[in-house]
Amino acid sequence: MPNQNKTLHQLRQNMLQRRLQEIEYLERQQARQDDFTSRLYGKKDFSEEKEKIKAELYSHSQQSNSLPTNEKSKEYSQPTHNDATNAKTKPEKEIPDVIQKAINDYKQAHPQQYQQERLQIDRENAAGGFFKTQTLEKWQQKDKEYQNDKQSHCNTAVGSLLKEKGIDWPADKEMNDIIDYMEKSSEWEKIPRQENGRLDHKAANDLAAAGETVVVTQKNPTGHGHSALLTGNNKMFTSKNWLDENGKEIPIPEVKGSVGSEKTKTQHLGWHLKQQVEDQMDYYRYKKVRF
Amino acid sequence: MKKIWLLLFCISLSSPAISAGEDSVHSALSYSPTQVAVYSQGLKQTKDTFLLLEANMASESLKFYIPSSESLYVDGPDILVGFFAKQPGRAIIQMVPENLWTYINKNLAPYTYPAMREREITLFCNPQKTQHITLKTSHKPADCTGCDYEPPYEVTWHDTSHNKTKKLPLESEIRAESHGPETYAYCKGDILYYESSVRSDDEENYWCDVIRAHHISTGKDEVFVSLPAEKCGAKLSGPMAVPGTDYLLYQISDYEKSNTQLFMKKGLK
Repeated sequence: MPNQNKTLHQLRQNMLQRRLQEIEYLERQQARQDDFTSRLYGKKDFSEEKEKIKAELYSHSQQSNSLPTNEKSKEYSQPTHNDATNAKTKPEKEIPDVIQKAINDYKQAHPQQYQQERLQIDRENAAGGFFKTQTLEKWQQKDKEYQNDKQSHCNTAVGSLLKEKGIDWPADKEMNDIIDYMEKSSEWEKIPRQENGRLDHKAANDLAAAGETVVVTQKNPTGHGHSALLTGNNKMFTSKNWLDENGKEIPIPEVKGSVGSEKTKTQHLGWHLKQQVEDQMDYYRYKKVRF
Repeated sequence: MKKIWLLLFCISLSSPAISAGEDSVHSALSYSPTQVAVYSQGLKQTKDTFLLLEANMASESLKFYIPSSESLYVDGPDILVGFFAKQPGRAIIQMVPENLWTYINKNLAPYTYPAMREREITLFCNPQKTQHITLKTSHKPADCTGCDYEPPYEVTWHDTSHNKTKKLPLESEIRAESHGPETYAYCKGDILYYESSVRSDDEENYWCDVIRAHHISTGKDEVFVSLPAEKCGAKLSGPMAVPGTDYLLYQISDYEKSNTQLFMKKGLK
C-alpha cells in the first residue's frame, strides 16, 4: 500500500485515540475489581491491542507532524510514552472531551454494564474501599448466624430487608461503618431535621408510607450503631421514650429490625432507640441513581 | 374472696395539634384509645406473683418514680398509679391526664438506674453499701468480622467490709443496654437478679427474655421469671425493686398483641 502511514486519515486517527481512551478506561475498571468480580466478568488483556494502536499513531506522528488537529484534541490527545506522566497528574475532574466521548460510547454500547461499573465506583468511593455485595440468601444466613450466636445483628437484619427490595448495603461491615458509607453514598439521602434540630419523624414516615425506602440509623461513638427499616405504616405511634419539650409523647414511626440479639420484628421506634441518642440518629431515604 | 377493685377507663389520645396536620392519607396520624386496668390489691397469678397493671397498648417502658422510701409511682400509660410499699400490690390510683407531666416534674423524682461509667456499672447489694457488684463490658472477640457485637458483662462481687472479691460465673450474660427498652440488673443481699435470655423451644428457635437470679455464695443460677411460650416474642423488662418490700417488679410488653402488663414478684431467699 503506498504510503499508508503518511496519509493516516483524521477520522482513523480519532477512532484510534478514542479506542485507546476506551481501553484505558476499561483497564482502570479492571484494576479496581476484586477476584470475585474478575471471575464473574472476566479480565481482558488489552496490552496487545494498545501497543498496535500506539504503534500506528506513533509511526504516523513520526512521519508526519503536519496532520490537522484542533487545539482541544491536541491538548487532550492520548498521551504518548513521553507525556504519560502529565496525564497521571491531571486532576480527575477534568475529563477530556475525547475521554468523555469514549465513556459515552461505552455507556451507549453497554448501558447496563456501565451503570453497574459506575455504581460500583461510587459505592467504593463512599465506602472508602471495596464495596462487597452479597446475595439475599447470604444476608439471611449471616443474620441467622449472628442471632444464634446472640450477637447484635441489626445490620444483617436490615441488610436482609433491603436486599429483599433489591437494595445493596456493604456486606461484612459493622453498623457504624455502614452509616459512614450512607453519609457519603449517592444512593442515600439524609432526611433534613426540623428547624428546632429534632428529627422529622413525620417526614420520614410520610416518605415510607408513600412507598419509599427509609432507614433510621444511630451512629454510636461509644458502642455499636443501630438501624431499622421504616415499615411505611400510615399509623404512627407514641412512646415514653420520645417526648416533646413539654414532656408530651410525640408520634414516631413503625419500624422493622432487630434489637440486640432478638429476631427481626415489627415494632415502633421507641422499642429500638430512645430520645437520649437523638443527636446520633438520622433518617435516610434510598434513591436509585443513574449515571 | 379477695376483692379486686378494677379501674377501667379509656383515654383518647388524639391531639388537636396533630390532627390539624392531617391533610392526606400519608400524613394521617392516629392513636388507639388506651384502656388501663389497675388492680388495687394485685391480681394473683401464682402464690408470690401479682399482676398490678394492664394496658391494651404496648408500652416499651413504663416510667417509675419513687417519692419516698416506702412508695412507688408508675406512669403508664397516661395514668399515674401509686403503690404502698408495705402492702404489696395495694394501689393508690391517681389520675392526672391533663397535666400529667407538669405534675410529675413538680412532685416526683424519677427512679434512677445505675449509671454506666466508662462501660462499668456498680450495683449495691445492701443498704450499708458494703457489698456491691460491678458490671464491666468485655471486649469484642477477634473473629467478629462484620458483626455488631454486643459485649456481655464481666461480673464481680465485692465485699468491702471483709475485703473479699469474687468473679461471678453467670449462666448467661447480662443484656447490655446500648439501646432499646430499659434493662436492669438488681442486687439484693446474696442474690443478683439480671435480665438475660434463653433459647426458645419452638421451631424458630430464637432467644426469649428471662430474668435470672444468681446466688453469690453458692453459685446457683436459676431462672426467676420466664415468659410464657406464647409470649416469647414479647419484651420482658426488669427486675427493679419495690422500695421497702421483698418484692421485685417486672414488665411484659407485647407489641403484636398491643398489651403491657406490670407484675410484682416476691424475691428469693
